[in-house]
Amino acid sequence: MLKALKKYFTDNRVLAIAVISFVLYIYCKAGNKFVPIEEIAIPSAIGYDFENIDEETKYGVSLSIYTYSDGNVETTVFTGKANTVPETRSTRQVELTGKFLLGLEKVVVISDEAARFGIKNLLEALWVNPAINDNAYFVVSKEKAEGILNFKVESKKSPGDYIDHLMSHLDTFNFFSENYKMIDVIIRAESEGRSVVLPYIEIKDDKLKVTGMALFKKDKLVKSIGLEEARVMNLLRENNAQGIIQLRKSTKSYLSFYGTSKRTVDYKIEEDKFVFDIKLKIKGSVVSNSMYKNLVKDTEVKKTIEKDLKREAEKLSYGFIKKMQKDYEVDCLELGRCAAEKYGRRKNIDWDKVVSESEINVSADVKIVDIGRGDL
Amino acid sequence: MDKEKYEKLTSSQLTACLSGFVLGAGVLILPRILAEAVYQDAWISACIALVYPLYIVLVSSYIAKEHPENNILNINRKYFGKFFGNMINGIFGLQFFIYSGTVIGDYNRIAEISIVGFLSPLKVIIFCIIATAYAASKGVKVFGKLSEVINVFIIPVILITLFVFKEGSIGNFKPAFDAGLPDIIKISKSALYFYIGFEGLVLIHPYVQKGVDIKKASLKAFAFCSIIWVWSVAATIIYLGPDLIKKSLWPFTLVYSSVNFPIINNVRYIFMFSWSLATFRLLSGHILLSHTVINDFIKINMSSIFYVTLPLLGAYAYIATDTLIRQKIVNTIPLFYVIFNILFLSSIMLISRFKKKGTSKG
Repeated sequence: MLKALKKYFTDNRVLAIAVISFVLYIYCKAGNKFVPIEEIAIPSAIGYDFENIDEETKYGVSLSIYTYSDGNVETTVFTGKANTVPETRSTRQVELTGKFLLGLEKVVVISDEAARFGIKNLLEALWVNPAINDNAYFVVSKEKAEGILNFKVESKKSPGDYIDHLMSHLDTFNFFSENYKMIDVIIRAESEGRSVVLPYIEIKDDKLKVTGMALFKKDKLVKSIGLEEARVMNLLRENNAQGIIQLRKSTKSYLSFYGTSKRTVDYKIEEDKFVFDIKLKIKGSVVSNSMYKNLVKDTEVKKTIEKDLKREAEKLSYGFIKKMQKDYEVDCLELGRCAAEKYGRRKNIDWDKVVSESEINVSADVKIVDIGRGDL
Repeated sequence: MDKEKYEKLTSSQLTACLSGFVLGAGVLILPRILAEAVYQDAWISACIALVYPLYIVLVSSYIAKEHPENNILNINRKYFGKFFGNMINGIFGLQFFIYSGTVIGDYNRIAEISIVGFLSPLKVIIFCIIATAYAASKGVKVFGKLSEVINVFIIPVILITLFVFKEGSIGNFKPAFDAGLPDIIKISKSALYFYIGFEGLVLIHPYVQKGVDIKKASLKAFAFCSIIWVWSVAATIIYLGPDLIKKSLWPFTLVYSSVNFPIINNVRYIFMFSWSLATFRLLSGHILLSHTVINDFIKINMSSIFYVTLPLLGAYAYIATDTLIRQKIVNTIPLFYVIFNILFLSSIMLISRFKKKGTSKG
């Protein structure tokens, strides 16, 4: 019997391999519990809060989970509150109707309060987990994160999808970069001389929108700044970022310039003091001009505009740097990173302090590449 | 001539074969091992350690050229006598057996964390061994063909990582030689474990077609693998920066977070899939090499020996899944074998050189 079987299988190798593979498959599958896709709770966004319950600070982690009914996709928020981050999973599971699964979340919303305490514990829980989506966007919200996830967006999208779309197109204006993802946050929080900045969102006029930037010192939020300042900070901080610089005399007479920035940082030490030189190269086009005449015909006018724009950019930059050094005391321009590359790493230097006390020079170089279809 | 064509390796198959003996799960770990000690200078250590595989490739191809018909096992017996020859053969073959266990151990950890978390280690080990031993049992030619195919999978997956230039910064390499040259050289010793495997050339060279330039083909394999090794370290530094690397167990997998394709949520899984194939290939190669040696002792065909050796390998691999035990093996045994291989292959080279001179004179 056995011999006949052996002979049969040596004659039919393909069949033998198929049988062996099938047996292996069954063996591997045995003992595993598989859940149908409908019963998996897929979060579109994660909210990270701090709560004061019974005079004890607790973590509150909310999930905005997709629910499907009659062809409609809606989201429901489930919140777990506990004194450690992973423990929130167990307290949340008792009200969750599906199996908890991470990996498809698009956005992580951190409330202002939680960010001020520090997001290290959240980052630790996410860093360890291999299933996590490294490319989920991080944002800081003024309100409670749970409130943001519960906010009904007009377009009927889930807040997770809404913020995801908001973030992925943020880099078109205001010199925002696209590096506000989880992996970027971890890299910046853990590397020497680097700093985390995240978009700051608010519910304003019944709309969810970005109203500025949150500046972090390592993993702690220290200051949130408005959009005006954020624009200048981004210009000084990012490479290949796009935005508008404008010269304005009155409501009727102004010039707008849409440019792409590039920055290089140099440093030297003078009398035990670091001196940083930030060089900005901004190339772009004039998108609207009602201030200067004869821009099309006269190259001299073009040069004057370039000079005026340069002066404007430098004026804005110095204004921001002064505030940064005096009030915020954070190296949110990542100057320490450039210095560490030459000065040496791991020398226990607090770059936030060094940058706040050092001299920072900005020189801008604006170039108008095209002026559009012509003057009206 | 037909037999030659169907049973023996072509030049490109030899190249693929050799890269199959060395490329595996190590690439994922290598950046961490080096960066833990020398931070941004890790890539320099990775370059320095390449001296060892280069030496092995050169010596092996010299031996292969001098003895085109005999593999190292026969040469040994010829030069050292039957008893000592067999003993050296045994020691030489044992290294491939030892590495196959640690490779399964390493792969098992990765599989547990990022690929098939729902499988118990034993199941992963059983699957690894059965699949790879089957491939190995088909002989060198099939292994050569298989390696060629898997190289095709590997190359695009490595090329994708060029995305790090967009997200990362080359400034992360600066300042160079920060850790000091002595430290950089000292840590490069730990990279040797990941670079071992080119020794297999002296076992398989009789299976290469006549007229193939073995030296050229194996140097090609060396270049291919060293580019991947050094790049894996360099790319990780460019993307993650020197401080973060040591905090991840498999830092090279994180480089794939820099890649964003529409539709594909996580490019890392694609990488893991093709790198699993590479690891299986490595395992298969080492099983093939160790069993070539065992075959030489006991002249039965390979698939019959498997009934004895594979359960042994399985048990050993199960022990090696324990990180501490594996660490101990990896820290000591490769160093011994590096010295052994250098001495042993050099002496074979020198002896055959003198013999050649002697015969040409006589």
